[in-house]
Amino acid sequence: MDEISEKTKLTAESLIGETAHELLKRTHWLTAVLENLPLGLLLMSTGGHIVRANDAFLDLSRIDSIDSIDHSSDLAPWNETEGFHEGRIECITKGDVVRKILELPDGRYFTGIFIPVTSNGESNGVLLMVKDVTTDEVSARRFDAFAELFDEGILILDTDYTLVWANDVFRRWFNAGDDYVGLPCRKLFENKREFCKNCTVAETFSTGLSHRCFEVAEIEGVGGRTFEILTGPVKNSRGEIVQVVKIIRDVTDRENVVIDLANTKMNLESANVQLTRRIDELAMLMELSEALQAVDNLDENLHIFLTAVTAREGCGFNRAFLFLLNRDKGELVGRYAVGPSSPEEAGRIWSELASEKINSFADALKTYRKAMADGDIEVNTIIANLRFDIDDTDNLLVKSLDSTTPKIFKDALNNPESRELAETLRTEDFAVVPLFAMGRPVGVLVVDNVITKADISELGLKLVKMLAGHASLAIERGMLTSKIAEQYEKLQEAYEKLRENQELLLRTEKLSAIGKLSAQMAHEIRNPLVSIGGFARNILKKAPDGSSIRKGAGIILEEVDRLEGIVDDVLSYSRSFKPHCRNTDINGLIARTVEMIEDQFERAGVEVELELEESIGEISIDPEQIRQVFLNLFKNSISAMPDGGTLKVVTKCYGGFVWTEVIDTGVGIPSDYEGKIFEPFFTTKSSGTGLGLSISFQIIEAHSGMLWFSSHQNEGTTFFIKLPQRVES
Amino acid sequence: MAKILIVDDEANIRTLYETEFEDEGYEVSTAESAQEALDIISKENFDLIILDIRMPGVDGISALEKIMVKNRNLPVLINSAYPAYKDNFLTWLAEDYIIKSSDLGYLKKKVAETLEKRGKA
Repeated sequence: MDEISEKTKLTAESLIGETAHELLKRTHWLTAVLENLPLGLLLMSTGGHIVRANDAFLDLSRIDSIDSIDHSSDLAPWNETEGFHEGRIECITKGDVVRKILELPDGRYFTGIFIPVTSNGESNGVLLMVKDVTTDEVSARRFDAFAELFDEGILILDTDYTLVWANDVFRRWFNAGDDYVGLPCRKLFENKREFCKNCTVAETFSTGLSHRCFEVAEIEGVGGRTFEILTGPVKNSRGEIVQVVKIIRDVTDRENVVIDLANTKMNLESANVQLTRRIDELAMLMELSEALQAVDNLDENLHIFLTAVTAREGCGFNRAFLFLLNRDKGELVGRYAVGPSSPEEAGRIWSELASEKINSFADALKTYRKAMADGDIEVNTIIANLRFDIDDTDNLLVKSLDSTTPKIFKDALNNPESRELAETLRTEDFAVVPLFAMGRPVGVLVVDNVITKADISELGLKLVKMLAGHASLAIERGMLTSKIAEQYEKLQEAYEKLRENQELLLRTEKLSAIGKLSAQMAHEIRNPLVSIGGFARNILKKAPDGSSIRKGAGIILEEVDRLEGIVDDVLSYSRSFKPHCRNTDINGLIARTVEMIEDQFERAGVEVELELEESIGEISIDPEQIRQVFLNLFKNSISAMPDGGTLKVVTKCYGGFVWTEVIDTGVGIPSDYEGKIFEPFFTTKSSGTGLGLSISFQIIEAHSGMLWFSSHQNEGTTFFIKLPQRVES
Repeated sequence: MAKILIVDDEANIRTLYETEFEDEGYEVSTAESAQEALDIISKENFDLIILDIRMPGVDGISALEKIMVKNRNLPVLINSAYPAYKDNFLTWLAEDYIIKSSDLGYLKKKVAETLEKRGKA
């Protein structure tokens, strides 16, 4: 300061004496002004040397003093500030005032005004005026940052409709470039007259109110966009409108969203309708499934399924015919059908149904079954006799087994492929739905609308297919169940047989044990018999004819013979009954056997009648065995007549057989025992081995004959013996 | 005169057979056990043996085997009250298997046939 004042003083003093004082006064005033201005002042030479700085500049620069004219050492903060040197040079070059925002390294902002200082038209240097605008600048920058966050275009217009400020978005949309300040808005909207048609800016200036409107404009590279434009006033402290803020918002997407929303709503509504229908279908399926699960009976399941196919609440077909595959027989068999036989019957059933309150599919099932209780006769008559060989691959239904999708046959009578079936079912249009269970075909379903003549709808068929999925499983299950039941019965039978066999085995074991015992006994008996008989024969040989010794020896021999025969039987029982046949007079054999137990008959009060056909002559039999048979039968008949009676023995001969009947008037054989009397060890007597009839049966069988009986309670029993009339040569 | 050995543990039967076959004109010896029979055979020659099976001690089938070891050509007729031994194939070594009966007719017939076949009748 001293330097300047000195220089000024010197100049003043040397140049103008009189006015020096005045000048000095002015210089002091000027100096006082400069010193007291809240502006930093720096006077620099054109080369950039520091000429002078006021206190404010030093304060603002936070420099204590400037000791050198070299700015590089004393103006450290400014040297690092972008625009400081550039401003000076620009100012000198242009010879004009240059404004710059200077940001110091410490973060403060200054407005710098570079004023050229000239002397005699020549540039002497530059006067820089700096003012701390940190607060303003930070606000402005915050505002910018804030404004750039928006997707909207934001601009501020002056009262003369020129741009004061605009954010990047706006500048981009409207090609405003960087030097937009001062541009009239009209120019920006040149090709977008719509923006000016209802100018909201004018509106805002005149009314002082905010406005909103929509405009459509073409944006380069983007196309037609819809904009929402908001306008609001910027007022000064007196409430006067000094500027207008305009916010331009691209709402094209929002519009689209609204349109999309409307479309979506429509779609949702139709989806809702479909969903409702779907839920109904699912509910029906579930109910059908439940109904099917509830019963194990195949017929019941088929009925439920077909009712579901024909119920209005189900698939709504008029009639349904079900054919099931019988894999064992290789046939496709008409199994079950549902549907009215005539329009009249349909009318009756349907009007009956209409009067019923049906809330659910289960209700429908019940009601339909009631209404159609006797309505399915005709359709079932049609289907009852239908069966197709599964090798007949020309057959429409057999062919359908391998297909996976339902097929509709329209005007079927005029189609050679479908004519036969259409004639059989008496229908014109029908559809065939293949049924599957676990991936295997189980049958086919034929549906039609023969009464209502309604078109067979794809939707209905879809529903049938879904129902069929459930029903097929139930059908398969039903078939399996009946198969299992059948197997179970067979198993039961086998078990029964096994049990019987086990019993037989037990009896056989018993027989075997007793057989062993009796064989041993027989062996023991046989030896003494050999001695008795042998000596009797010896005596008989030596005794004189007609002597009593000879007669006695004869009787001994006869009895020994009989005993030996029994021993033979017992010994051979568990072995074979192979008869040792020789030609024998069977009538004589019977007579002798009767004679043998004459005493027993007499004691029991049984009268014996013989009706023997003499023409029989001799036949080839084992006399011992056959006598054993008659002995058994006779003894049994004596037991059967405890109060006496008549035993009649009849022989006949015809057809190559000898027929013998042993008829008693006894108590008869209880029907419970009929199947058992020929079993070994079966006996009703308290004493007896139970072997008699069993041995007899086997003996006759071994003779290729037959032994059977007929008996009436308290009337008597007849045993029949049939033996082949054979003679050994 | 053919020599016959009758082997049976029952005295009555031995007596009966002895009587009957002597009546037929044979020279009859008897043994009451298989062991005795084997002893006798080792000392004497016989043309035919009638052999019981069920006997105390050595049974008839074992005896038959031993006899056959000594002399394969000696005819033996098994004479048993029990047909079941027919199942034992060793009995096939015998000339025949005859079931005991008080009627000796069949046995006698067989004895005669066998001896005739061997030229000893």
